Amino acid sequence: MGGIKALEKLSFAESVPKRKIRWKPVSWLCLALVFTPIIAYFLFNGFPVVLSFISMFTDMQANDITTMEWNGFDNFRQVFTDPKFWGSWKSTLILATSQIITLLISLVIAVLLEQKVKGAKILQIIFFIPYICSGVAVAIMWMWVFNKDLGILNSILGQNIDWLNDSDRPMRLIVCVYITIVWQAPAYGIVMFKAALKNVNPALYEAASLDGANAFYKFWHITLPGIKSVLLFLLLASVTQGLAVFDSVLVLAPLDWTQTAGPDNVGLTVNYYIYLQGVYNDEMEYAAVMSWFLFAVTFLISFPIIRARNKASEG
Amino acid sequence: MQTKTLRILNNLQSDGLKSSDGNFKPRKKREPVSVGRIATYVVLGLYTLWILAPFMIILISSFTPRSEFETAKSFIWWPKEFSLEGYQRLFTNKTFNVGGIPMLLRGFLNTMWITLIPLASGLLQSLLVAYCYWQGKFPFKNSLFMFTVTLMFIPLGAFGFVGYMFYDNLGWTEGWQSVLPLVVPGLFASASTVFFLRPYLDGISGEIVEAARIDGMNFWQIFFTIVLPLSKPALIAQFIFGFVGGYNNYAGALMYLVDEKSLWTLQLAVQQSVNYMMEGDFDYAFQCATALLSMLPLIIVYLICQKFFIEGISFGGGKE
Repeated sequence: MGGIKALEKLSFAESVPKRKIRWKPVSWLCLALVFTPIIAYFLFNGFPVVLSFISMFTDMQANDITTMEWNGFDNFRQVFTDPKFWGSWKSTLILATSQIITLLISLVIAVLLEQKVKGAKILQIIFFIPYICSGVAVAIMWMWVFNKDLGILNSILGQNIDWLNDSDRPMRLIVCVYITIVWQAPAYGIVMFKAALKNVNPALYEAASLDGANAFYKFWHITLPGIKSVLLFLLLASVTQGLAVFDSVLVLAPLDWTQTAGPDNVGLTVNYYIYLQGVYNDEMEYAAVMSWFLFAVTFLISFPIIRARNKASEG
Repeated sequence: MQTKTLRILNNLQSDGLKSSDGNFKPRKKREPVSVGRIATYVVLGLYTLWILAPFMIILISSFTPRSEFETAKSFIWWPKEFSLEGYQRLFTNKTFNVGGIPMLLRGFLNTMWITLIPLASGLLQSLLVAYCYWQGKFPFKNSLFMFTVTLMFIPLGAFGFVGYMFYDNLGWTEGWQSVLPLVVPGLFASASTVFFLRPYLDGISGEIVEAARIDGMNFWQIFFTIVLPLSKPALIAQFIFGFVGGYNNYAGALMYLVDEKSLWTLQLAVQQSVNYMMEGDFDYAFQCATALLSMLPLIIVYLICQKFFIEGISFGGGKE
């Protein structure tokens, strides 16, 4: 909560009374110290990204930068004509829609928890558990639920469906990954929404009730504006998260010896493919193009949300 | 000596205590039962079941003996006999053993030091930097802070894997050095943590630092005796946020540590052992036991201090 508030405030123009700067040794120490996060950032974040930018236009042997050779836009041509690359985008975009469902679930559950429910506190504790569970463990858990012969889902359905590896119906794997995400992701949103809902002024609801407003009116005109900034923040976070699916697909669709992830490669998400090419196959120049493309797409989708957020914090 | 400082410190702390337990609510009269309320309880009940069911399923299956799986035609809702075989294999199997220590335990210990060392160092340094911004007087203070914050807002999420090339060329991807990419960057102050600690410090009255200075404390004394204890809530929030992330970090471990079995973290050990087991015989009890045991430590810690977790996540979470 504090975080969100701080983000909203962000006023740099502090009204510090102008005093003469005293050049004491402590000032020098402070000046040196405040440079450490900046230097660390450029060393461990900035530099690798710049290196990846350069590598996009070169050819290397096993990621060794001393073997860099300029090859123009060859990597771009290869990536953008690679059906596996576009296939990975298809899978990623389908999976990213789970974020919308996630937001809806978290909002509904948070609103319901705020209805003076008995045991709301315990429920909130339970609903938050998925957040602290690792993507790997959660995927293993669901892998067992979706198991073909002995899984609980097939037992309930009375079927013998191969959820994870049916080459005739590859989309079933996507359904499984989808469910894994939708099970885990709302935990964070519930906590954030609930904190925001607490801050909506109860007097507004009482006034609306006196005016004879119905629940829908109250939600639309009081609740929604009250949680707008958190909603936009979660939307922004879910764009990044939605396009970054990685842990669960690595467990549910492990690489086979032909480097195929799941039937028809549907398990291959963008991040999975970047990992496969850049780290597993030592072709970082290729993976760099994909990373920069992912960055561009993330930025393009996030941009309107960032603008809306700035507008909301001004108004 | 230093009495004024102590007095203000005490005042600040007791104020904090007072405000935290001042929310008593009078009990409301029973509301009439309506359709809406029943629906609310039904939906929440179903959601609780949805969240807890997978845990229940793997809990039961982890105690099911292998012999029952071999003859079963469908899911075993309740084993005829509960057995600890799955857990035993976790600890006795030779394949999942590095230097005499079961791999899962080894992974847990590796995760602990790989997560805690950078987290402690990074937090302390970030607090130090925030303290400099709060009390220090040096040129370009506001511009430097602005610059740091701007860096933080550049979304580098898409570049999670490109760092591999950088560390590969440094020679940090082979042998024991492969742990360095996971540890070294975190040792330093981070822009985002500084950004979240500063408003917290700004909320503390500067009076106390003034008083301490008059009492003759120096820069470091003030930091360790006043700033550090006072910012404990903010530090706990940031710590939990970082710890959960580190404990569950899989991509980083997979990138750098996969060839160094002795350095495998918990998540990597879990994923590798389950994938290995799935190739050969299908050992479901082992699979469920592994997943359950890997989640258990954090879940227990969470249940004990859930208040800190929920506050910490919603507080520290804003920085992503």
